[in-house]
Amino acid sequence: MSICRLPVFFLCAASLLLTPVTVSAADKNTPEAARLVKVLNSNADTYDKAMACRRLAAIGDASAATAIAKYLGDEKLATYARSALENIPDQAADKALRDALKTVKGDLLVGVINSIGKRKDKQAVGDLTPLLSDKNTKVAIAAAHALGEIGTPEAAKSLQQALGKGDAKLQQEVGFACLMCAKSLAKVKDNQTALALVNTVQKVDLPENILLAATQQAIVLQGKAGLGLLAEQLKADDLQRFRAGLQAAQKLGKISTSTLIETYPRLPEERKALLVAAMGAIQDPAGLPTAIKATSGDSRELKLQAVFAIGELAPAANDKQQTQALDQLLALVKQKDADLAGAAESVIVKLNSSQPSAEIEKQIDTSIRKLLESETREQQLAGIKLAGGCRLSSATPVLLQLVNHSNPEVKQAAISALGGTTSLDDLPRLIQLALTSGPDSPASQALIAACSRLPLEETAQALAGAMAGATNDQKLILLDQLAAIGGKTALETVVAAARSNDDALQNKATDLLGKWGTIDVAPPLLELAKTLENNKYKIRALRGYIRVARQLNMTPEERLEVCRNTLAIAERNDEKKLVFEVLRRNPTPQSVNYTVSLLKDKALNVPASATIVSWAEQGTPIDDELLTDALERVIASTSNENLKQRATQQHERISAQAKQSEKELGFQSLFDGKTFDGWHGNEEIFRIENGEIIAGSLTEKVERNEFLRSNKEYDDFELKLEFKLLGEKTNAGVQIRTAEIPDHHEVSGYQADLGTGYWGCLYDESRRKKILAGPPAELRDLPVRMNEWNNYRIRCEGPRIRIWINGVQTVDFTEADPLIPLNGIIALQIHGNLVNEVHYRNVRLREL
Amino acid sequence: MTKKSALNRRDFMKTAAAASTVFSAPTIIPATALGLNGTVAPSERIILGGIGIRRRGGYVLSHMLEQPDVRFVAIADVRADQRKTVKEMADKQNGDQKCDTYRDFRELLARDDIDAVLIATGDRWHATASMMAAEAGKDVYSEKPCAISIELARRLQETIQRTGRVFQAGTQRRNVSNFGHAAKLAQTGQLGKIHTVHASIYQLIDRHDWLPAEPEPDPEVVDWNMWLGPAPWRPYNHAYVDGAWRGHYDFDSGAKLLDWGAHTLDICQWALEADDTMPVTYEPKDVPDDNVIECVYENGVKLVMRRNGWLGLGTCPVRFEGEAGWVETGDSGQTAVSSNELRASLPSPSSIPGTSPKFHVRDFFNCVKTRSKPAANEDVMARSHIACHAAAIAWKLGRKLQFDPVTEQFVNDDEANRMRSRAMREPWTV
Repeated sequence: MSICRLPVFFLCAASLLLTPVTVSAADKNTPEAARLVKVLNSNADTYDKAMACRRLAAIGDASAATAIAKYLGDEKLATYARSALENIPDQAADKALRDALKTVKGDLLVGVINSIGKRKDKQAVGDLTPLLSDKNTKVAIAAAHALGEIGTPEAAKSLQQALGKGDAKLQQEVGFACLMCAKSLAKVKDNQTALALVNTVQKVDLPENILLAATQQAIVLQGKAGLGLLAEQLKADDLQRFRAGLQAAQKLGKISTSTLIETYPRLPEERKALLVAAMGAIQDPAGLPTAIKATSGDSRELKLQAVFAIGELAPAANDKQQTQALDQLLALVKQKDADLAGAAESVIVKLNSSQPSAEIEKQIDTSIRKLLESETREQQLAGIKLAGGCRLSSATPVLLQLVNHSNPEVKQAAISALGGTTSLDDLPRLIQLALTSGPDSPASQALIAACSRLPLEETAQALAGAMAGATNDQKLILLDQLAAIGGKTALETVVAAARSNDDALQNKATDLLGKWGTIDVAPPLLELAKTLENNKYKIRALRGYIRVARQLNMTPEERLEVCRNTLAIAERNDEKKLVFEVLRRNPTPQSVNYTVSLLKDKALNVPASATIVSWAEQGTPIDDELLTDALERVIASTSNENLKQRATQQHERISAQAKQSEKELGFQSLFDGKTFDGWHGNEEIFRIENGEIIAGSLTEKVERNEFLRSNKEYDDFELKLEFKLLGEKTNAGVQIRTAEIPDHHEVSGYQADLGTGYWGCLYDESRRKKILAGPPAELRDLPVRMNEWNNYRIRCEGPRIRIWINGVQTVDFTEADPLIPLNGIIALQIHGNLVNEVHYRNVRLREL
Repeated sequence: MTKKSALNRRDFMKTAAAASTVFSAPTIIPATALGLNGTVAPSERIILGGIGIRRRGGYVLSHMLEQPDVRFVAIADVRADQRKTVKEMADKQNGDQKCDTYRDFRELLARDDIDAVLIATGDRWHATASMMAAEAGKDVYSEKPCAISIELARRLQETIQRTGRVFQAGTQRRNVSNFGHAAKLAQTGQLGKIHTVHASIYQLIDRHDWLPAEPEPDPEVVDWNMWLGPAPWRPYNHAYVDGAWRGHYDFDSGAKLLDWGAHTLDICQWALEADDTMPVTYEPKDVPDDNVIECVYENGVKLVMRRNGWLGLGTCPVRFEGEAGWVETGDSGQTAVSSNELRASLPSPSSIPGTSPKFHVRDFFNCVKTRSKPAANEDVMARSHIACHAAAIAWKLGRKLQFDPVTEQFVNDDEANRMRSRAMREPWTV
């Protein structure tokens, strides 16, 4: 796949195939934009004109403006035309749009006004101002917005005068347009005009949301000077105003902290909660004392928000402030209110994980120990939870004792906390605890927590080691744990369980393997699918195997291997269907070639055809040529009428697209199908039949290498052709950047090789005499359709040479030797000393 | 890149969420405590409306309906069947028959009682509907991609700021704990100096064809004109309305790059604490069967967008690499790290998949009340969306592009600059 997407875009922009207006040969060298203007001035259909506008949006200039502007009054094409005019940098586009203000009406006029606004055309203020009082409200609103966008002092003046006039909807929109204008003015540092405009808006009778937006803007525009206005909002009875104030404070950032602190005591409790939350969001540690104070507020909501705010502010505060915050939080964890205590605990955990100073860390540790030793139930529980949350491994021995506590709450908390504190050394004890407690128990949960953070392989080994002495039920728990962490030991252990004689273990293990997260599960699953005796698990293993290709990341080759292997052993249609689902989801050149190969299998022809048709219908990045070819094969092979019809429809569309694309790119045919014009070589060996160049035969040996040579030399180019090789052992190829050897049948230079063992390789003929690049020997046959037509693409750019067979890249080679010439002739080869026949056709090339 | 506190509000939400799994039942931090949503008087409830809700939207809505302080009262959709489905869903939750239905969302926006809207139409509508909602005084939760062009992302950001609304983009992974933890490892220096971050993307596709014309349906059943909305005119075909709009230039964002990129590039920006900037170069790489786009920040950190080569940790993976180690995570909730030292800091595996907007919607409603900026606010959205669009434009043009994050223009590439914006179909104005 080439990375240049432009041709696709480009092609659509001038896809003239369906219309009588095709680009004539004489137009070939006309600049693209001029050709597109011709399309707009022709009787081409709507689609072609739409795409011409789209392309002109990117490349058109002043000379295209008039042709485009013709469509500003066309309901179907106006948007396309405006996209083009909006993006043409020249003033001609502005003028075309301004002129259209006088000619187009209704919604189309709204569109033109929008485009003028988007271009911020200062010269349009005079034309737009009268439209503010247009009878059509939509037009007036559009004009207001456009003036807001233009945002000059003149535009501001027009908008200010229009404020408060017209119907309610218009008034509202003019209000917003003023705010828009103020933003533009502020952007160019004209804060004074901006502020004056915003203040005017505040005084007009408009819906509350606009007034509040204006107030916010006024506060933010003034910065420090706006703090008085801010304080006013925060004291307002109206909740919306209070909230707008909070938002303005947060927009101002840290400079508003002092105002927030001053306002705090005067507010009712529920607003205090919102204010404290806002302080947390501003992240100014200066707000921390207020947040700490708020934890002793009256309402629960306020206390909670205060705790959360401490969580925001404390990590950035100094040690002294952190100590104060910690003391307050530690007081709260002892509370009976579980939500509040829990919030405080989580904030302590957060502080602990925010890399505080050693001093603070020590304080936290000491406090946790003290709590753990406490006689009071609440305090002990808080200590247990904090030990787990802060991962205090030194607390493990105490916790292991508490696991046997008579109070169920303490017992459960201790078990959970072990998930946080257990170290690798203590892991076997936690494993045993989990095994004796059963699945889904708190101990089992704690084990999950511990295993997810302890060293991977060591943890897996500990779990695998516990398998030996475990009961079958316990083994199930261990298998779950192993699957949760993954890795080599885990996989081996679960696979072994899948092979065991116990049904429950097999059931669990095959289930886990079917959901495994990494692709190393694929080989053992295939093996299980082949060898397991129990049919249910065998099928499950196969489904798990194909799932790897569907859900996990694999290279296209690996994925196809899974497809091939699955089809080779699948007995039921259900599993075969999954293979086509994988193919459908992964349209690569390799998967297209593979799916094409499946068309020949009668039982698979329908799903394979459906896959190919669906690629075409959905749109894929597959090369048009490859897809066209695949669709042809569907049409030729399928007996399903519906698929045939859909394939035909897509084939028409895509082949037209492909042809047009090549044309636009400048491909030219090198072979007229009838004569050797442009070529020379041994015409006893090379012959022309049915528009093909043929050499060799299936009955007699070709004695020596023969080459049909181009008369012309090329340096950078892209060459495309089709080839078909017949014979038991074949050999041919395409010479590129090659030199003739005077009076000799050989030539010297690169050969894009073809034939048994050499498909798609880059060989250096009569020069270095070796393969320079190519796929590994065992993969060379894969993209080739033996005894059938294949597509060959060769691209030479500077020292880089790339080759594709049927869309699959086989070579990406960069010449390192500066003495090797990067230009030369092209020559089609038949290899000597073999009984074989080569066919070439459709040879075309574009110079780069 | 400014150095912001690595431990921000979002971080806390996740710490709290993680804490609740470390401490097993009873849950220590109930959603109520996080949520400013204790028992609420009906008068203080957030009144919510929905615009264009189908599959993903329905999933998000189901999480919104769970919130005790939120009441969903109206759905606007161009499809009769979807209006019916969503009404039934809401009525069932509310225990009445009062959810109103509209074909034209402007009627919904005109209602004074509605405080906030969930917008989950196709890409073509997101920015326009969001801006209209903001101007109507509603706070907005919009599914991603929130803007179909660079210009609209910028304009949406400005509109939210100007109107003083709260905006949350539907990039919920900013409120999913494993992504947060991975970002934190990068932010706190535990991976060493970060040199490369990786963002997964879909297969890119940029279609400009029109599907065969079919007779337009009864607008009461499917309002095609309204479905098209600000997108340019084209003949009707039922497949678009049923979801086949993806990949079509007029309806999709950045040749499908934003479908995942809006999430994954955004998480990379987060990890790099680069929410106030974006990469300065975008270079499509010629890698077979992949769409690799290599981007570089001004400080030299590389951001690689690619489809292949991930570890299998679920969809939407990201990976951060530093001089001292790497971390990779995805929607499965699992996290892979380069060393046992890094593993030691991992929170318990999350039971919340990356696709879940559970905490993200709560974050939004909290901010509706406190007027704070949610995790995926308009600034965060604009930067990561614009960077994604820049990458998509580089891919379309097949060449390396240079981008100025301040002027938001490509440097010395007129053609690329002219791909930053598209016209909006009349009569839509914002």
